[in-house]
Amino acid sequence: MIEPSPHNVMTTLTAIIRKVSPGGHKAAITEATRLTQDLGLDSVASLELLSMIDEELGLFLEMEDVVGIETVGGIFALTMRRLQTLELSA
Amino acid sequence: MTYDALAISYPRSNDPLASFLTSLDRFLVEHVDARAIDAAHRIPDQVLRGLADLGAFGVTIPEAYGGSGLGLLAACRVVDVSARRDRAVATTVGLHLGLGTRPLVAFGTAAQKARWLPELAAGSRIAAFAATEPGAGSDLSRLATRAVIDGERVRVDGQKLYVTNGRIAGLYTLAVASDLAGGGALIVLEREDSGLSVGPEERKLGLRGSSTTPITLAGVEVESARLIGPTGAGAAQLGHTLAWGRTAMAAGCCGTAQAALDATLAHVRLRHQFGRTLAAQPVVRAQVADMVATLHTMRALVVRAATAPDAAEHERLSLAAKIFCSDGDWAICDLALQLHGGSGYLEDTGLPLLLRDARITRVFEGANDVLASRLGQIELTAPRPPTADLIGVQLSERLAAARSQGLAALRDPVLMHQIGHLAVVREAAASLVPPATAADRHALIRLSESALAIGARSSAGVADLAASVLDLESRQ
Repeated sequence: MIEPSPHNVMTTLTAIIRKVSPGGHKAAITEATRLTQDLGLDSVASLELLSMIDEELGLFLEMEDVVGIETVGGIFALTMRRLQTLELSA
Repeated sequence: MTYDALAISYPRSNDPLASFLTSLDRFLVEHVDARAIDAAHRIPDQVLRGLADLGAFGVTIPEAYGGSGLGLLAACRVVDVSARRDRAVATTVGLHLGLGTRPLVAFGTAAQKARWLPELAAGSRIAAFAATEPGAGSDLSRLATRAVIDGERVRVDGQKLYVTNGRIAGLYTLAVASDLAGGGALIVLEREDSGLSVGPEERKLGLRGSSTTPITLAGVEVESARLIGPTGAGAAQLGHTLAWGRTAMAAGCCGTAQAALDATLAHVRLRHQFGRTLAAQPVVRAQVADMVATLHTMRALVVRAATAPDAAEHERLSLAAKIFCSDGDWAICDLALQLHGGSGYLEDTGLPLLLRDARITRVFEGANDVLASRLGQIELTAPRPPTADLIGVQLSERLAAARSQGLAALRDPVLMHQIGHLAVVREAAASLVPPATAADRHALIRLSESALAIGARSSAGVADLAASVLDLESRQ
């Protein structure tokens, strides 16, 4: 598992997003980047992206955790929260 | 009772298309020789001209541009009627009405529509759609053909495979990767564009009269106004277009299955075995009933998909229709051949052509197994209200198993595939509720049996056998 610093988490998220988004998404990815309008992901593809992050970082996310997330910032916040929870319970 | 093939599942009264479909069917019966087209590997020019004169290429193009301004259901019925007489003709027309022209009609700017739609409606320019590439088949997120935008100009480089209508098209809509927001885009290229070259015809198992070629884009430079609609909307445009294409293709499956059923009914009524006609024999009667019920369900599902109320529902229903209708088409053509006995294996009966033509529909426009997994993911993330019937129970059990895995379930392709197939059966059954006819009731029983079989499918032992077969090389 990666060291859950904000920089490490954002770098990991960015790498995964570039891997799964249509055309590789060459533009800059920030917390304001929207999953649908900017990355071209539909609802299932958005959840697939979250699923890959779940796998990569070992977050063990439930479906209910992720419904309604619309931006990379939303993913970042959820990931940070979850990593910190995992750390506390370890 | 007379069996009215075209009336199954489609409107019977006050039908604005009835007169056109009658003229179309008459033209096809008089001028289209399916076996000759298959042998020649092309549709005669005079057939294409005749279809254009009838208005077949303009059915879904707005009246302002010379078309009839009708919707997807009308396109489906044109494709269905055409496929009953020849699947290559139906594929040529259907691709034009669906994937070929839909992006421009739905998303094109006023200038784009004015420039291309009149010729497309008249059939003087036939449309093609190019998505598949050497490295991207059912997975369109990995397109390598790229549109590089530089101010008012766009440069396109890449290669597209299996382009239906490739040789005869005058206009190509391409799915490309780009640096635009969203990553993807649709772009229109003309046959005359410098750098666009059409490769040789592919030699195929079936659909031989339908043109299938590769196209190569080597430094094609066009004005950026060739990009369809607002920038950044590529993924949504592509999703809408593919749902249209899948639905029209499913309608074509109904037409081919209809041809197989027509041939079967004629044969079993005439052919005597064991002192009576085949039609009088219980096992044959049950099989013919299965064929009719399956075709009835296919058309009912196509109608639902073609009239879906919104984009999400259209995607779900178009996936179900594509999978169910292509599987049903294959099953009906196979059974038709079986009921013809040895003669069904002979080209002269026309059955081998139907079977060969039907086979690709389970593969193109998204392989059925890939689409089933996609439908499973949709079902998991946006489930329909559960039902208490056998199909609903099977589906609910699999969904509960998936949810217990959390988000990781989306990465379980076997489970997604199983849920997707159950969702197909559920959507097919929902197309027949409430059951009003003997065909509805018969089909619902068969669908329940099908759900039970899918639900009972076990993965026990599969992993071990798969590993012993597929990983052999790595252990040597």
